Amino acid sequence: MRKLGDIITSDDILGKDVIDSEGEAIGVSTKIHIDNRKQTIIGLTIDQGFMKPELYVGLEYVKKFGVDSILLNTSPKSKVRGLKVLDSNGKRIGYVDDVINIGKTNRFQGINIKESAFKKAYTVKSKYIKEIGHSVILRKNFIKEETGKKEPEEKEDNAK
Amino acid sequence: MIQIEIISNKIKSIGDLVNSRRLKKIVVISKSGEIVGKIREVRMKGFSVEGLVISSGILSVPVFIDRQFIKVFNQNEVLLAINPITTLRGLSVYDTSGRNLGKVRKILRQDNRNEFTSLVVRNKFYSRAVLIPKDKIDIMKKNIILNIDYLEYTDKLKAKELRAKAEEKETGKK
Repeated sequence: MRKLGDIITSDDILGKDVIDSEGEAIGVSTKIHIDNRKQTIIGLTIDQGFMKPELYVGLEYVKKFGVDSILLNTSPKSKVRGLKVLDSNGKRIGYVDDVINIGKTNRFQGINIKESAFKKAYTVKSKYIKEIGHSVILRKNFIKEETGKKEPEEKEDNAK
Repeated sequence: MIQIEIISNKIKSIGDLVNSRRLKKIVVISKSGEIVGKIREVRMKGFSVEGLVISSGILSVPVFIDRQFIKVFNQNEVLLAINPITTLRGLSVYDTSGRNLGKVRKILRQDNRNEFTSLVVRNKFYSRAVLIPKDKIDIMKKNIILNIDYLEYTDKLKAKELRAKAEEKETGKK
């Protein structure tokens, strides 16, 4: 038999802050997605704020529907977009223009970096990323690649 | 620009050396890429730099960072090898139940190392402060997430206190 304390309502979910696995508040839950056939909740829509796209999060990424907030067990890679990019010496080299995800997963294979709004973006693979926090810090000998071009650097080494 | 004549056996150009007149413009960045502040002072012993005093605002207390924690120090930026614990001030604290306990107001430390023993968390300035020991912290990145349910934790603490009082009474009677 279900205990009353274990049951929550949509009011306990909607309008709550959504906190990712790094503790960052990524937005407010606005919609609950329900599988009509199975009649179960399958995910949430998160409003990330003004001028930002809404984010769908599957229920498998929800750790807990909390008292004041909803805790996630993952951190959406899309929030990397717009972060400053620094080289290994701390010098600002641009900002993250886009994140290249692997399929529709939350893993990514690289980031597109733009030095300024009018310059062409280039891609840096995720293996050259040292740290993602308040900024993205790259490793020492990172390689710039053309955006959209998938050219493994091992081939370049072999050619040399 | 004034031309400077160089008298040195080693140095050929002084262009890449840090100019003391530009020190206060240099930004200090933590290990995670967060801007900690700007250089306020450079503390030296003889000719060697012992550390930097960093200020992060008018109201904030300046922080001295030992040179052992400085990874890169050049004309434009200083990159630290640590995330100074002073940056924890102001972070929100959540427990496992998603309860927002407030923000970090005070960091309690034993010595000058980059470590702390506990955090003082307060929701509003008139609300009661909550003391969070370091071992109760699970994640400490953009905000802080605890590994305990705060209400359960306080209940346990109260029960412990009551037990201790009862034991004291018993030993007093004996």
